[in-house]
Amino acid sequence: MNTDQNEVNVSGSWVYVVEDDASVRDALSLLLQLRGFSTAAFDSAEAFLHGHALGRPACVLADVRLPGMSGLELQRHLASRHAALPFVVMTAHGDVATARTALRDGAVDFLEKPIDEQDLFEAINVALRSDQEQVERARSRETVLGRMQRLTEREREVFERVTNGYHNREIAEEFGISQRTVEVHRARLMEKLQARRVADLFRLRFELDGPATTTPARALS
Amino acid sequence: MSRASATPDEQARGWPASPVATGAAGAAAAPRTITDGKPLDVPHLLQRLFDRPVLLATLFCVAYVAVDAATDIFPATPTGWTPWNPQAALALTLIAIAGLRFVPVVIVAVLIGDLTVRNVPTGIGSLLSALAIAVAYSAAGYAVRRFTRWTRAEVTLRDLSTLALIAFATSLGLALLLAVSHALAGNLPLRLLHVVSLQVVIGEALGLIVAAPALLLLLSGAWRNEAANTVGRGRLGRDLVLFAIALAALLLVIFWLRPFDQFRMSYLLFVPMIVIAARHGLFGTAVAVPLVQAGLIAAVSIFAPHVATAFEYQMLMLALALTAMYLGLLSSERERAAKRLASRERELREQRNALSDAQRTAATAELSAALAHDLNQPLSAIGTYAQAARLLAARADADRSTLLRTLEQIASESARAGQYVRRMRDFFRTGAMHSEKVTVFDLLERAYAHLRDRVERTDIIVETEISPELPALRTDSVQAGAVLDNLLGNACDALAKTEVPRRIRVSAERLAGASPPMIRITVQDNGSGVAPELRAQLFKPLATSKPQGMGLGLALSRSIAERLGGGLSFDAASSVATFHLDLPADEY
Repeated sequence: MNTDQNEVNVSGSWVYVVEDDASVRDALSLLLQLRGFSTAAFDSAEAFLHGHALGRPACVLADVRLPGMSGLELQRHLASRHAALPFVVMTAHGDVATARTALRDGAVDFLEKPIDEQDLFEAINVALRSDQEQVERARSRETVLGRMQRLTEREREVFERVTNGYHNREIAEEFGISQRTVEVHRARLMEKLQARRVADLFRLRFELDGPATTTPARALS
Repeated sequence: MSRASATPDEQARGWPASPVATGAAGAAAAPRTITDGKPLDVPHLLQRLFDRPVLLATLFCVAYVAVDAATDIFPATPTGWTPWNPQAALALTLIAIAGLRFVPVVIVAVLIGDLTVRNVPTGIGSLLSALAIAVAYSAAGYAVRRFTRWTRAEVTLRDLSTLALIAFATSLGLALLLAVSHALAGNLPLRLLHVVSLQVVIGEALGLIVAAPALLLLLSGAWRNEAANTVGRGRLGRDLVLFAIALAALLLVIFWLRPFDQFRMSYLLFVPMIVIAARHGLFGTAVAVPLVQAGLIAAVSIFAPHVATAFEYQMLMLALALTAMYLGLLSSERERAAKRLASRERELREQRNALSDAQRTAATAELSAALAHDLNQPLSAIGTYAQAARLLAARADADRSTLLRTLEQIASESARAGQYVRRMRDFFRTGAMHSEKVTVFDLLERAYAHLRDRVERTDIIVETEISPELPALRTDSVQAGAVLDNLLGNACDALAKTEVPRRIRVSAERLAGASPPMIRITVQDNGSGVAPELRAQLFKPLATSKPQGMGLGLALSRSIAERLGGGLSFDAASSVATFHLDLPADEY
């Protein structure tokens, strides 16, 4: 991976260190801070779950073996919630089974102690970039949703039909209005949604629904 | 007569050239048949003899008549019955080993004996009498073959009792038959009936009890099993020669020097007999008893040649023979039991060794994993601190105090790694164990130092209850400390998933009634306890309830505690998870 080209904006990025060994925890926090990351250190998964809402973009750097809830359990727990943070796991005894489980559950990387500096920062960069994208996606979706609020009921219906590929004539027939009126609705909603071309409408629809959706009404209603 | 002599040839045709089991009675008849998993170890010559029925029959008849003639002394009137009839044992043995097909041979032999030795008048009466005797012997032989293991395997108490029973039953039956037939013939006054019957019973029973065991064991080859029982108690041949000398000397003293009444001194014969029975078991006794009988008959016929006296001595002989046989059998059984026990113990020992090897291997694997983990933590911290230090040093505005702190951390982490390495080296150290005086408190303090971090972080309350008067331990503090360390670590693990308050309680007290004096250290936690299904294998290697089974493991801990002269146990009776570590106290 080329870290230089895709370097995330380090300042303001959070790394949450979850590690029960005090020295390792302290050393990792120090190193990450020196590299400019904001860090928060926790000695157990439970402690992390109680107070992690500090900032985004962020990623979790957790040891597999923790007292109480293990690192892998924490990973699964986070994945089941909406705010899935990218996860990097560490272990002092690298065993294949644990690594496989972690990666299958969506961990960004699996680091063996003693940790190689290069590997550590590569993993953290990937994780943060992924979270960055997640944050940006959420933000733009929010914007689009805000604009959608301004549409009238009829305009929303027309937006849905247009982005489903219907012609103006078909829409007019369905609602029992003239084609001319449909054109007016269309012009108004494109203005409100700040779309210049019909293709822009499709992009907005995609952002609202996600790529795999088959029930477009959900995002609109 | 001519018809009877043809019988063996008839039988020969029915006898397979190479013996195979033929029907129910065939198993023991074929001397090479495998019974009870053991080959019938008949000596080669004997085996060949049993393959040739005509030769066997001839030899039997010759031996029968010879023995009949040799023991035809002190015949009682009017039956002509003698006080010792070992030929009966010969007939019994033949049937017991070779089977019922030899019954005609027995009839012929009895007839020849009657006709030649006793000059019984030829006639239907003597034929019937011979027939009755032969049938009685054959029935006895068949009973031995059917109901006992004399010709096959190790003889038990039951086999001996059955043989005695058969002997008495046979002789009683014969006595009844003979006495009644003589009384009916009118040549026996009725008032003498019981005396004559007793004479027959004694002569017959003795013949069987004295000679049959030796003959059965020797001719069937079963003697090898029996003789093997008492190997290691001296050589049988040498002891029998000594026995014969002692017997001859005793008989000379009793009957020839005659310091007191002969009969009253005869109990002395029990002494050498009992020695042989105790030393050489059933087989030694079986061989020695006929020697005593022969010596006694010889002495009586030389020094006190009266028919009545002879029967008196034979009563004594019967008691002697039965006592000696039972004693010899018990001696054999005792030896057999001791051998079985020894072999069982050897097996157990081997199993234990194999188990402890497996445990050692498992423990080593677990130790290596623990070592790798424990070393990786400080190494990881050192590496990370070093990178941080490099970054700090490279900065123009280097923060000297942070840099210094980082470098100090590196030094302290490397000390921590060194400590692990030392602990592990001490642990793997073989051979000599340190035996030092250490208080329970110090031991606990050291173990607790490793866990302080965890205990404080997880809000565990550690309570200790150690009396200041408690004597110190005399043990290896490193190894005992490792065990305690493991127990406390387990308690912490168990408490990690427990709601507060989390509590570990360590107490120490004298173990009541222990010799040498012991101290019991008890570690308890208020966690969820040990699942019942896990308890049975708690101390087995690789048994763990933790997904990452680390630490030393209870199996290893227990073997360390045992090596230190103590023990480690789980208290199933307690309501909370309770482990007892027992270690020797520093007092004698």
